[in-house]
Amino acid sequence: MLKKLSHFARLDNRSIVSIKGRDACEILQGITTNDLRQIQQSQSTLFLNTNGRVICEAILHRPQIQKNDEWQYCNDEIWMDIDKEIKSSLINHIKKFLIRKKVQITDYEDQLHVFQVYGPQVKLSNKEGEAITDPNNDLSEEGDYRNIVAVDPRSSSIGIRMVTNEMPDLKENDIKVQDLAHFEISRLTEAIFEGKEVVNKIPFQVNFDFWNSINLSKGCYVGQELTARTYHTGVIRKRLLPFKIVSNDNTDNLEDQIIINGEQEVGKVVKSSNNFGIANVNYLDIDLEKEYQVGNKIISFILQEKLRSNLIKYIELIQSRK
Amino acid sequence: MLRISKTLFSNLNNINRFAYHTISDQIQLTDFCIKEIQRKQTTKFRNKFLRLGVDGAQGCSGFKYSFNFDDQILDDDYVLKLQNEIIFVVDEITLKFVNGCVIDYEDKMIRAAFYVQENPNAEKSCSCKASFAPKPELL
Repeated sequence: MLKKLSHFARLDNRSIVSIKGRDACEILQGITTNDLRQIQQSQSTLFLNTNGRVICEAILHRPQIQKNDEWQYCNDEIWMDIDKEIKSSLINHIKKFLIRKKVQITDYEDQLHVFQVYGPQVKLSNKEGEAITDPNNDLSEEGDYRNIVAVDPRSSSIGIRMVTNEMPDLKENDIKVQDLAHFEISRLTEAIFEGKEVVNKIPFQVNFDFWNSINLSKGCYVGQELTARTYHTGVIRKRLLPFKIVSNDNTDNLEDQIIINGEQEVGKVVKSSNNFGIANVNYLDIDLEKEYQVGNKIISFILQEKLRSNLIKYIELIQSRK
Repeated sequence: MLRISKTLFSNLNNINRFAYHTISDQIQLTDFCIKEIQRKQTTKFRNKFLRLGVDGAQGCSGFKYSFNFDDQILDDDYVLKLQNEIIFVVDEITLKFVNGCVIDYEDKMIRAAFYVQENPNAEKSCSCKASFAPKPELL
């Protein structure tokens, strides 16, 4: 399984916070966008405020412990894989809801580490969020908790997520160790956003409806009213999409510059470095396959397979409503 | 925690030795609401009273009201009596969130239920009146 994936990165910007107790799942179900009852090994979800804007994105993992020589899922514990910088604000947000609820929040920043195994053009046979247990290549060892190895719950195209207490031994797997920045670029080319990139945005603007993170039929949760209304009655006109700079000289920073198509304003660059960037684009009005202009540079949007099919699906949905 | 049943309660002469508090004007009940509680007390919920609670992490604004009929009084409860009959009880934690509110009963086609009509501690409430977001200084 791991042989198809050639890169490995340690995600130093993520940390694991455990939420444990009888009411842990009930609380998370009430304040996150995804349906926790459907979790397999891992699940991508969002914490929203009452105005429907993102406080934090998280990947929830279900830890396994050993009981009677068998691995069993803990029913009263969830590990949240979250951005380090937003961690304290998320913990404060959760603590607000803990009236009469018995829940323990523990920060495992020093004990547990998050890793990603990924590679270009990966096609995994497993579905998003499923646990991977390959007996010939099982990275997990016996201990208190089992190492978590799961297909990234957002998209299988960015590989496998791992949570372990030490650096896994990868010698036999012929994997190249990369730094965090290398993974960030792979993640952004898929239009998957994390951490500060999503704070205070509307979930749809950062494409989380494409990445199995929003369940529109689970019932009430904080921010549900606005999320459901936006999806069912509104049209999402702007989304953050990745682009590459086609023209040669590309040393300038294009941040905050306007993307134009002739006279027409198409979008705005949010972030750019080298020949790659992220833009907030009015994607419904334009042909995404064409090239556009930012200042004196020519850019073209990067539409990976999953992003493209999801965009097409959404556009068809909008057209079917008319 | 001290639990005393209400039937036991009414037989005692010196009820004041139990540490419960009385609601004076922290919460108001509309006449229609009182009538409905009394009607229920004579039919389905004999010797019971209406209890209001607030649960966290529920509903689309984060905090949900819960109404139910109960016959137990805890020692930090706030009690509203009418003609020596306990009709409404709220606990201390809940009172912090609902202080100054008006409770009403509605009997409409969509639902027949008790609900919190106006809550001065709520910053935002959801359209189904079931949940609310408290003002930040309360948390």
